[in-house]
Amino acid sequence: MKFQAIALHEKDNVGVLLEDVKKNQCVPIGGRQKHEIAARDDIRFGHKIALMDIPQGGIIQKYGHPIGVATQKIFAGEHVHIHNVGGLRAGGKSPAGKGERA
Amino acid sequence: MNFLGYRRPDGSVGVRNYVLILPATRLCNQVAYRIGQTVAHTKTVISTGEYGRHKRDRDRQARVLVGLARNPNVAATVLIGMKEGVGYPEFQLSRLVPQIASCGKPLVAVNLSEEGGMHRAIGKGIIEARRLVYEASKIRREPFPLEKMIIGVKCGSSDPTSGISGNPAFGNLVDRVVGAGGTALFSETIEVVGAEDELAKRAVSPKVAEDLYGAVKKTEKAAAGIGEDIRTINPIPENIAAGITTLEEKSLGAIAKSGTVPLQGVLEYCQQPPGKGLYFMDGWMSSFSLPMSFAAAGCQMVFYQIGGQGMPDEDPPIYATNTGVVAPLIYVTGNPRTYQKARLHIDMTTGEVLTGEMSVSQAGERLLNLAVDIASGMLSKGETVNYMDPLEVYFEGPFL
Repeated sequence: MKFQAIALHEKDNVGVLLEDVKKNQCVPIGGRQKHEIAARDDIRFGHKIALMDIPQGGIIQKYGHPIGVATQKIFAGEHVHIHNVGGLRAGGKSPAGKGERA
Repeated sequence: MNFLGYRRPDGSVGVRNYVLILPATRLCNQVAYRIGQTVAHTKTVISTGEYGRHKRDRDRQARVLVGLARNPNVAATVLIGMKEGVGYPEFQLSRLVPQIASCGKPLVAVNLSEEGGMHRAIGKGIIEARRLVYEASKIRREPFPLEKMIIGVKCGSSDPTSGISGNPAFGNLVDRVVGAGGTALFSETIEVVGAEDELAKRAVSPKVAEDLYGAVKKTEKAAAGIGEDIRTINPIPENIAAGITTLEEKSLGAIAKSGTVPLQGVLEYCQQPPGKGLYFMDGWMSSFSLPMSFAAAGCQMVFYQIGGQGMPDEDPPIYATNTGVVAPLIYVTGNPRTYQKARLHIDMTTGEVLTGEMSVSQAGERLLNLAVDIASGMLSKGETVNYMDPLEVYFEGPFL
């Protein structure tokens, strides 16, 4: 079956959309994970979808590596972007972030 | 696999055969421009200013000028300077001439003061440049193995395809060039932040790993020091519009362009690599700057991986046109939508990797074929345009 989002690592909690999807649409995940998730937002091609619930302060994982921190609780199927994720490095300012790495 | 190139006296191989018109100082820009306008088959450097810069930055500027003249795509150089004692010591003809001449290629220095001023210097430069172009045209292309190939790789207008179908394809190209005994450079220090551990694992020695961490730490410290959220600077607005959320995310996608081969060393800005293999150059991510930095470090060609999802329009203006001056800039995208929008600029797409219709290895093979074609004389799309963005040198600052 054709997948609409790609997970780049088994442990990633976000996937990248390969097509635009609409809220409530069922999104088949491919790549390193095989499952489906219902979109909770309209999400555009290239943007990220949460593959599972992520608590506030939880690390966002992509490519098998941390790419940021959840600044609020994120539900599976939600659009994951600057409105709910902060950076951790190079002076990234985010409520739950540590800023520059020691 | 061979490419057809021009043999140079120092053993390097050019993929183009230009005569370079090079002003030693910004004061000589107009002279260089007039010569370049008159003489066919030349490339002209329009120098950025050196005034009010400290010694380390003036050294950088001089390294760019010397490096462009030494680039293997340059057959000969006309260098225009002022009389001894005018301006900073780094830009004296007596200082620049030996650094360029030591690579054995023809070099004519036109001393503006000795020629009797600007307009006479233009005349002298035209006469010399025409002679050098004519002589250079006698050099024939010959076949050379890939171990003589040296490329730079850059990514820009990054979007989420960059880390999936764009940069991994470039990484495969790097693996192929380096695997055949050639050389590849990558850079963009700020976009290693968050991905340095992955890169450091590939360092050939603890010293190389230490140099890499050192370069990244210095840049991250500078970024944190300005007191602005890095996300208001990098990722750039186009990256964010396309779906990249943080600098770390961008970095992890960006380093895929360096492939999987060992990291041989960390170069200073515009430093020529001391050996073959993969090198990291401490440099600035700007599209208007980095291709020139690679050219000054000796790259024959610069491959630019463009995401492009954040580019709003059909037929968008491209990020940079031949800022390498002497090294062709070759655009490749991993985003099928970008390719559709900007086919006039983009030499190849690896977008099929996104959906699994093409493997990363197949994409790398196609890129290598393109590299060999362009090295052998086929034009990149950017080379069909008579426009060149101004040079932007990566300075440390402050400017005084």
